[in-house]
Amino acid sequence: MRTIIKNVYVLCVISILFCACKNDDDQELFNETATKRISEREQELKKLLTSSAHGWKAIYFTNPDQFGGFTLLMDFDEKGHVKMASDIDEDIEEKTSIYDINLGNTVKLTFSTKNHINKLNDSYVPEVLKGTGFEGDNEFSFYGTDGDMIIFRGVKNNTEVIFEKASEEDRTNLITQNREMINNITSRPEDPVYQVIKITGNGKSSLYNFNYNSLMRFVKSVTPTDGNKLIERSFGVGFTPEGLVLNPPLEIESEEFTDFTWDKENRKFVSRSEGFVAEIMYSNKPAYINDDYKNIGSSVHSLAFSPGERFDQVLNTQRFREMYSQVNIDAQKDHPEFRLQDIVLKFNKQADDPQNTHTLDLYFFYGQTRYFASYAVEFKKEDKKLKFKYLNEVNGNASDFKEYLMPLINFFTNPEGLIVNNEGRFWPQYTNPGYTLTSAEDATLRVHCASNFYNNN
Amino acid sequence: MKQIFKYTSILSLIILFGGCTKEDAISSESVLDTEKPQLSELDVWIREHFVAPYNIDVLYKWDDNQVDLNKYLYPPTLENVRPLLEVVLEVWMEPYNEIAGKDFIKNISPRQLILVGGYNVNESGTITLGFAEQGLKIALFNVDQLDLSDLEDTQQYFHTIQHEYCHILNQTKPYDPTYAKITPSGYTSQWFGNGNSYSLRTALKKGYISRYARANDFEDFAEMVSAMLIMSREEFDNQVNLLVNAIHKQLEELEEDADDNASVQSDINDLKIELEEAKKGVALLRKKEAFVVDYFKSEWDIDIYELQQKTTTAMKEIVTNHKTAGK
Repeated sequence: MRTIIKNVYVLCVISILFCACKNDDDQELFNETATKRISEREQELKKLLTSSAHGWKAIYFTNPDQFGGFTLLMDFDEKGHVKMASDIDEDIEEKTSIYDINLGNTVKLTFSTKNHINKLNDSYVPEVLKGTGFEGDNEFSFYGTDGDMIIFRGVKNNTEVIFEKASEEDRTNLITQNREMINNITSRPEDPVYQVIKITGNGKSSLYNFNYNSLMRFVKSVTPTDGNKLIERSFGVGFTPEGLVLNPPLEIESEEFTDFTWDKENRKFVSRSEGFVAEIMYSNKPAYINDDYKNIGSSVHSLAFSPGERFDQVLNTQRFREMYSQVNIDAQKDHPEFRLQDIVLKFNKQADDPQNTHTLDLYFFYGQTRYFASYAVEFKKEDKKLKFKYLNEVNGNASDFKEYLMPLINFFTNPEGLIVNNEGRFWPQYTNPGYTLTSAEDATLRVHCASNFYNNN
Repeated sequence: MKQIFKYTSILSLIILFGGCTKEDAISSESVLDTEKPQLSELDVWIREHFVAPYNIDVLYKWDDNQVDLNKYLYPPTLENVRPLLEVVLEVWMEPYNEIAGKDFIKNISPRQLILVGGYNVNESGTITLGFAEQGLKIALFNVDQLDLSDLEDTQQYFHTIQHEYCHILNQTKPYDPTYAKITPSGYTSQWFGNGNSYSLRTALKKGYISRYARANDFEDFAEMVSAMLIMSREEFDNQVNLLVNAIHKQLEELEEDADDNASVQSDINDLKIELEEAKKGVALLRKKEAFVVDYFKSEWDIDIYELQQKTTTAMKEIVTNHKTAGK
């Protein structure tokens, strides 16, 4: 017994000794040490950045939930300098600054002194974004390559940025072409005021609102449908010489649209997907007419346009203001003392009474005295629009000056009607809302009127 | 038995010696990149003018470890760094050298000066112009926005440097805590608020040289020192008497149209009451001034009025030079 136990003990001791020094710590997951790997990664990044003959370009969407994309054009040299230009604002001049390759969570590219990219993380400018600016990053972690592209993620916000090789053409033209494209998305005087997204496919087309904020380069589209539902989409917009890039992509009718091309002749951005076409365009018709027209004639008893009251504000389109000024010029040829003033629609009480009608009154100065030309109009609401029908002249001035005032009379009495929108307070200190009236026939004509500034009869 | 035991022990010894794997010999080559980094001209200049003489390192390249990660900040534009540092030498270092000796700044100074280009905007809407930490580093913001041809702008910038440096002096040799008892009740954390109670007028009445001085006695002391070092003696006296002089002027104007007008008379009476309060404020400020003068003399052997003269002259020269340089 004792011998067996002793032998067992001896056997145990021997086997423990055999196993004790079995050391598998040497089993390497990698071929090299961590230090060497980091060092090589840094070298790899440096080599990549300096390998492109004409530098790199990237569209940086700093926060796809709030802002659009800003294009950067960069050229890195061996000595640690980077030349950069961008389309962030009107200052497109190329600037030189220092870059470094550092170690943070992982190997990262740091823009060490100020350059264009820092316009995106300025907490002071622009003022409306004080505290955060465009939430851009200064440093980007290196996440590897994808073909010819380098993948980065911002260190602070983890947003992805992809560097693509820039061509020679890019170096000379990319930024200027982008700045031109930025102009295309904002309307010109000859464009109708409604900017919409039109989706055509499966034999039908639908319109959606396109509410673009040019500072943030962001769209928050909210379109009510007739079923009392709201279709909401938001996305950031980046620019290219050919058109737009959306991030996240626009998703409508289970289709995704990312790249849009600018059609210069028809002044619209077009994107095609499987059997569907998306267009961002200026349209004579709005995506949706709301119920703002319902108050007109009841709680709103007058609508007045006045050249003194903020004539130049953008809700009066340039085409309307030109028409107004031309009326003045033409009248002054025969009557040098004539000066057109306010235009007022008065929704008169008891307008069904043959003695009373609604009127379109055009006020003017003749010398120092103020007069008005009054025209009777019939008023109804049809298809969610206001429709005025010209009846007759009410006073002597109306007959005398009718020939000069016709363009304005025609605007208001157009059989297609006027589309109404409540624009909020006309003056910040008073509660009277302002309403815009847009011609349904020609949406380049729109006028902004103060409600209930004048009394009705 | 003994045999087995003998052989077992020999076997175990052999296994013990041979069993554990050997480690690799340490290579003589490093896996790190030991190439000397290239220093730019600016870096060489910084070594010659800051690191070597004063043992202060200037960090202008972006390093997110130096600043608050929650804020959106950017580094200075490369071209703005050296002009600013040259001015820092002339207005901060040189005067202290001349008055307190060449090693003063070397011994008592931040080891790091960090330059940040943008504004450091706080939640309250205020802007942090700089901070001093543990006596070791001073961070300066808005470097890119500095206009050296504008006296007010330049004064504001050096106000920050002198203010932060004062904190460092205080952290090395504290001032007598009785300073806080000169105006104990006017300190408030809402010193930046809008409205009358937080205005400069009220601050002066209560015996504080600026609105920020009301934050706490630590800031109060630094504000007094920095005010004295960015304004000449005459300008400083004017600042102390700012409210008293303004009220005198207002009284003169009102007394001209006094006549029998009752409301004007009542305004005059109100102003006279305010004048008495303002004079009390002046007395408190003078008390604080004396305290500061004493602190510099007894702790550091520096005549602060002499230092004041040197710093303000240097500042004015720089502004004039930058103006004529056509900036």
